[in-house]
Amino acid sequence: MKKAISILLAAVITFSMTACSDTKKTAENVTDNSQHIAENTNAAESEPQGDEVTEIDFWYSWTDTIEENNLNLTKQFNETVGKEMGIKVNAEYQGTYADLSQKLQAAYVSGTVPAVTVMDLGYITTFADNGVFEPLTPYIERDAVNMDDYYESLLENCKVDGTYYALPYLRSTPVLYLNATLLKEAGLDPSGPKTWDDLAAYCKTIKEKTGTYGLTMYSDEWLFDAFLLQSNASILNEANNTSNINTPESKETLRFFKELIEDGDVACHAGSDSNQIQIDFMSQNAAMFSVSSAYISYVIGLAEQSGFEVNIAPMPMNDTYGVAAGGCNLIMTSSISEKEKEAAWTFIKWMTETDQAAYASAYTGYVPTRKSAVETDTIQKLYAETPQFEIALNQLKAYGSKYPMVNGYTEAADIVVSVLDAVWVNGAEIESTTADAETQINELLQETN
Amino acid sequence: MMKSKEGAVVLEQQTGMGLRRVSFDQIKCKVRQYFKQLMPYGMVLPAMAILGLFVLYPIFYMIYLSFFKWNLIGSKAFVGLHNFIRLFSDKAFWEVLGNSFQYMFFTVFFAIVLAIILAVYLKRETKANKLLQSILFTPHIVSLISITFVWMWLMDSNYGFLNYLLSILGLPAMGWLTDSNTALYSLILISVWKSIGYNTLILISAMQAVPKYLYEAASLDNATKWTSFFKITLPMISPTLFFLTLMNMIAAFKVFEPVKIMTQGGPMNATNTLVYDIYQYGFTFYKIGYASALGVVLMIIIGICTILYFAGLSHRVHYR
Repeated sequence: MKKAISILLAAVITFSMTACSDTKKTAENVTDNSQHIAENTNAAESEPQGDEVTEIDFWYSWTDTIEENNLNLTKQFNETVGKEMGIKVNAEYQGTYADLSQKLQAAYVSGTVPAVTVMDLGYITTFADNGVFEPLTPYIERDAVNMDDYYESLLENCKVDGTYYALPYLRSTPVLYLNATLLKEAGLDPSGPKTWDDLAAYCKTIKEKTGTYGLTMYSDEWLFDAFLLQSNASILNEANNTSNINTPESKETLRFFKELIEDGDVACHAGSDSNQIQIDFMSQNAAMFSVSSAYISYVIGLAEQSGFEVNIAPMPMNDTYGVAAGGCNLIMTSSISEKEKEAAWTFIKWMTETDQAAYASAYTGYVPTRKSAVETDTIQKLYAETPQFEIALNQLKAYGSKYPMVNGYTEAADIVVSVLDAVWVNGAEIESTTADAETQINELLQETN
Repeated sequence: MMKSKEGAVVLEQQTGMGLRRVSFDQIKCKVRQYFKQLMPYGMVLPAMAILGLFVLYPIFYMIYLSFFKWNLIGSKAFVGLHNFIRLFSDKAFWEVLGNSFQYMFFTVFFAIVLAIILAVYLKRETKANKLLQSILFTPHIVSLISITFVWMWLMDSNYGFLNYLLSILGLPAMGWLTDSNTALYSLILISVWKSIGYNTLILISAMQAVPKYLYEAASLDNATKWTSFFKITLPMISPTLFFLTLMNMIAAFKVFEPVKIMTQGGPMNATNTLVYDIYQYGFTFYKIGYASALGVVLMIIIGICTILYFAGLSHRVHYR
């Protein structure tokens, strides 16, 4: 009897312990949402007009200049078009793109989705396939939105099976950030390396002359995809159903940077340690790094405080030039009322209009999404004063590739990151690592599609 | 009271005659007895309802979901045992399982053994010891998240304090969290550091509760300190030790926060533990069915550990 009780007790403890860890996390999301509902209802109550004003939520990611841009635009909308049409938009910060997607997933299940949200390119297909997003094609056709005004390579990432689910919003390409002061000190041309061979030479000279790393990077699948595009390859094949990680181009890319890392000319941090590249660059422990153009104004600002000059250069070429587009689009959710959908569409349309596209680009460093936006005074003045802002756009226009939007790509990207961690950070042997990863990614793509 | 009166009325009608006072009292008594029996169930009902809703229901729902392919937002597709078959044939799963066991074993081993040593040292009640005890206990009070961030800074490969110390000693810098060979041990170190204070405190109170006369008797028999430790202290504190080991084991299996914040399971899966894997599959890769299958495995493992522990070791534990 005693034994039976003790076993039962053990079982109870076990179950309560395992369940604890699971429920705790969902509980987090739930409280988040319920708080958010509470806030909304409070806001609605305090609003005297009640029925006339349609309130919708707008979720966004990231902080600093990107956040300011989102808040400024939302405020501007509420004060102008929103006021006229009786629409009030509440902008809410939701963490990184991954955090935002997780919260959207939970919100969808609990029926509390925002009407509009920014959406990382990688997640669009999964949500669209499952009916979470509202197809925008009917709205675009109804209001005759001039789609030709958008850059073609940006629109590629707004469609799923030929239907528009999104409009381009904060989009970027990776660019090379240079510490011009350090480069001059090492006797190098501060406009930056043009080819991979230049890049290697730059790194070696910088290391010799100044003792700092030439380039700092972390295991990042987006950057690796850019490297592969520059080598006439990409992480996935054209049809997005097999991986190119085990191809000679991929292995050559891995080897090229592995050698530089092992010589101490390039620093590579683990995928989980992405902050390090900013620290390296800002503390002048590395002369170059490559991230999204979205950080241009932020990095220039910080560098001014630290007392060095920053230059922006296009990504160097290997066999060719190449970058993968990144960033986020604006989408509308499907499980909201017709009235809210109209309000959401009005907001999305306004946010992606010429003036707003120009404002967002100038404020952050994201590319202007529309050709007409480039013509505006805002952008023309910006490019005249700081030509560096134009580089991301030029890259995009000339050779920007679309981001692979396929179910399971998040998981595939994770596998790529662990390959980079293995080869670049932990010095693993290339051949077997890529062969393993290829099998894993191919199996995964087959299973999820 | 109302009920008992009604009961009396019913009985009156049945017999057709006026009832005597005695039977009314009997009924009252019976109802009260009945009430007394039901009372405890009523008292535990709220707790049971919460347990059922937040523990039992999720468990059964998880088991149910493990037979489906589902991304939480679309429709479920029944796949039978496919999730489990994929799971057991996946190399990464065995890595994750290995990590979890390794993490659990080393965490529990060091957290308990070091706590025993410290407890023996700190059990005498002096002022200095009391201060040391409180210092040792502080990590337990601080939130794991903030501790994790502090350690992340300490263990930073370029700008971290630990590597700075190593460089002063003329030793090469270590990739505490970035080297796949050391990352898991770094996490173990943090976990041991955090749980050791609590373990020590519990063990000290257990040691202080051991009757003094046992030691007096032992010293009369010329027993060495080692002998009295192994023959008196250890057996006497074994119930506490048993409790601590169990709790530490389960806590170690559930490890999530440090993994999520410090390493995200990397580098190369080296720190990916079961709970983090579940989270990753469920909420990053949107594979709820597969994540549920992992959850079932975790539940079974913890269940087996606990049951084996209770069944196998309970008779060796000394109960006073």
